[in-house]
Amino acid sequence: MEELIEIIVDRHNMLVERNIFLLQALSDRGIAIPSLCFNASLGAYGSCGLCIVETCKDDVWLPRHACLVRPEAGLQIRTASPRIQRLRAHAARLLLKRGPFLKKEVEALLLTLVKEGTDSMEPSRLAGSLEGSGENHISLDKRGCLLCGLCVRICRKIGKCQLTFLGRGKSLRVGLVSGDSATVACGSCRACRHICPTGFITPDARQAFTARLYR
Amino acid sequence: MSEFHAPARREYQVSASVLEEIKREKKVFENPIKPLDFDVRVPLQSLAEEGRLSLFPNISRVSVGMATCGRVAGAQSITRALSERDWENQACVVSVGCLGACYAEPLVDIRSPEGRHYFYGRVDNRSLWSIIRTAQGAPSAQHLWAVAQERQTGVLRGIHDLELIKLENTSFGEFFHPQVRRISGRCGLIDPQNLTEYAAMGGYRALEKALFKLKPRKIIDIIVAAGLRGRGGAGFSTGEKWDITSRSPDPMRIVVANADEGDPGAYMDRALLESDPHGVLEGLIIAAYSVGASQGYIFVRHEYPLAVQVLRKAIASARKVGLLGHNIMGSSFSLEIGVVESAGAFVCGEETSMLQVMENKRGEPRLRPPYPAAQGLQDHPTLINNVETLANIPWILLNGVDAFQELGTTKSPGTKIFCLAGDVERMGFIELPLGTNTKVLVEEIGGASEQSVKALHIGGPSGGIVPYSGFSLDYESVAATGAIMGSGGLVALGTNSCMVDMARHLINFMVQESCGKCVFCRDGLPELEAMLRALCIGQAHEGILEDIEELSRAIAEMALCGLGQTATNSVLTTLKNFLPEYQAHVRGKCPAVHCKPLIDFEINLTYCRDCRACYLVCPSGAVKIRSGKERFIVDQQLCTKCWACYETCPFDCIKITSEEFMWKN
Repeated sequence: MEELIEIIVDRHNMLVERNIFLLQALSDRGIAIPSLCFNASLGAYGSCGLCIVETCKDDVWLPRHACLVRPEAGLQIRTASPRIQRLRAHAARLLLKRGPFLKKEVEALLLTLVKEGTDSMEPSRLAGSLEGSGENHISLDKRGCLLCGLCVRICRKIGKCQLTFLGRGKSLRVGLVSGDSATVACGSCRACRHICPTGFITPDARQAFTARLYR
Repeated sequence: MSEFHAPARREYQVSASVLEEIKREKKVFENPIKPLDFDVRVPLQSLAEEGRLSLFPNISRVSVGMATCGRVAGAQSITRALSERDWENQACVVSVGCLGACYAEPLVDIRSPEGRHYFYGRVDNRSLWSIIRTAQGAPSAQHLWAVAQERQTGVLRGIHDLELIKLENTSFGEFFHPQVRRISGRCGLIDPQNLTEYAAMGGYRALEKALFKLKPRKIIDIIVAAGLRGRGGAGFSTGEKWDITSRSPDPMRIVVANADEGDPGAYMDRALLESDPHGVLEGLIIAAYSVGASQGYIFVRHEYPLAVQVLRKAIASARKVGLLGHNIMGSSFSLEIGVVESAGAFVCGEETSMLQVMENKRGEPRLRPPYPAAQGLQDHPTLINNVETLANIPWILLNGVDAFQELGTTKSPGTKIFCLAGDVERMGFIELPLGTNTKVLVEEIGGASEQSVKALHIGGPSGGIVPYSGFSLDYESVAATGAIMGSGGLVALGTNSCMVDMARHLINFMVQESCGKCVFCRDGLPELEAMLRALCIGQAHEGILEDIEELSRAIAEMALCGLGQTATNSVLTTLKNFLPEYQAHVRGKCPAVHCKPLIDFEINLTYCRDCRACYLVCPSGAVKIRSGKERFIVDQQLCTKCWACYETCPFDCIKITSEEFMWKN
């Protein structure tokens, strides 16, 4: 039996389990927090920056990633505020630059988040933030991948270890580093394809992360 | 057996009167050379005697600064020229580390057998003869910078044992005068590859004291009482960190020295490792003994090949004499130290990503807590200290808490090494008491005039840019200005540097170095850089300053690790302190006349003597000769703003403007 603790979410008291992440606890209770990189069985990662909530500490509300917060007794949480919406909009806008995505619902979700965030802005600054400024630095062959790391993590979890991140910063990308042995070679399980939130991995990782030239 | 011994002892009894007589005649036994206090456990004393022979030889000792800064300035050819010479037993040539005055490299120090040190700075082929003559015993005043005398001939524990007796180059004296060399005092005086010279300067005495006279608990108490704060940047109390690690229930503990300094312009770790590696090793061994660790690592930046080489040699020679390995100095304490080279990324200097790298994983920061002191390398409690912090430990153990707290402020006692660079005359690494005013550092030591410095960039790329004013250099005061102390890198920015371009440059660095895990840092920083670039090329959109500020704050709030959270510090501090400059850029002007797309070159014909130098030198053919009153004009369409005409013109006729702002030299 898991120990239950009480937290306060949007002024409502709520009993949650102690040992799971806040995002999991909230979605178990039916509170939807947008998130693209979280998977309960793969643990916390904190890549997509959408699951922002505010927690209260010493009367100061601080934005945090819900997927990285462990519930404590008496923790106060806010899941919606102009500040949260703006931060989510920033993250969504930055993620949209990695588009277009194959799954249209991802794009729709991100667009709604941007719109919600910009609604709370003054109208004068709306234009600039929607179109973004400057050129898009993401090269065409990497479009469509959010770099959420779910495929890398699932591949490692099931023991294949075929996928890894390559490079850093701007040039970060997911790469297929296949071993020599045929038994561990990629291509049979397609776990990454099922877990990919944007549908980037089709039909399998080998196709998605190599030979991008002709797609 | 006892019956046999009893009469014999009685036979050797000495009467009181005879004892008195011996005491009175004591002088007879006194030897000019003190008898060795020989220790069977580790022959520290004999090592020291051996080191003294090479430190204070009967012939001249010519030491050439051969740290990275010296090598870059050409010390290698100087060493080659000097050591290939047949000295006929008059002198020996040794390579030492850096004395700190990096601007004066290659620096040569000649010690005469009488204990007089002759310093020659910026040595080149012309001054070689003076050096040779001095080494042969006939001091030459030509090219000489300074002469110092050992306060007591044959006693040299650090640079403070030298007394300046003659100063030919006043700036050399000004550079050293305000400094207090505690932990870097040996740098540049000893051969870093030679353990015996370190022992001769009193090295490994603190370790001996720690192992045989102090209990681990007592050492931690001393460090806590001293109030030593981590010199790596955050300024966390070192003693507390040790305490947490030592109280861990896990018996397998690890100590790591963090020497992965990535801040551009800061090189105190490199200087210490290259010039005095044993000081760091000694601190590391003491730290390991206090927390009960049996494994030690030094995590060195890959880009420091000389430091890695010196360090490996130092570890090998310490092992050889029993200062490392099993049963150090014959005590029950054993320690192995390994050197790990980093993968060459800025983020790997952050402690959690450093541990990831050491576990052969990707250099990504991981979430804290759990802190490494509780769960670090391979989940064992790991004590991570900066190299400079560790170098402080032997000094504190030998000199005591009170001596340590004499200098510095109450909250941050002790001394700190700063690295001064930028628009100053004299750069180098400088040790000063914490709480020293910036004016002392920049004006007295750096030799810059007050008007010529516009801003200070403190703490590397994660630090901030603050307007130049006199404030005290300690953790709290620096944090109050909006910057962070960081590892102690300090760049003076002159009046001609553009703050917007500086911020853009630093953000560009962060874009390259971000690990790419979280979206704000990975994609937010490039966007921020794009906006700053738009400012620098005069293509800013309306409301750009608000956008920049909001995005910077969002990144600082939501990034997962220390790198991302502090990455936008440079933008936020410049926005706060130099807002007019940003506003001018929005209007397409650069007040510092620095950003190329915003400046124009013109030729002032009042003083022009028609020498045509600008016309001849211009690589793009932008300087045109015309008939009529305007003989020379610059075609703004063709001009690439290479500054060649400005640098060539002998009469200062080239005027560089950005609307109403004009370039002032």
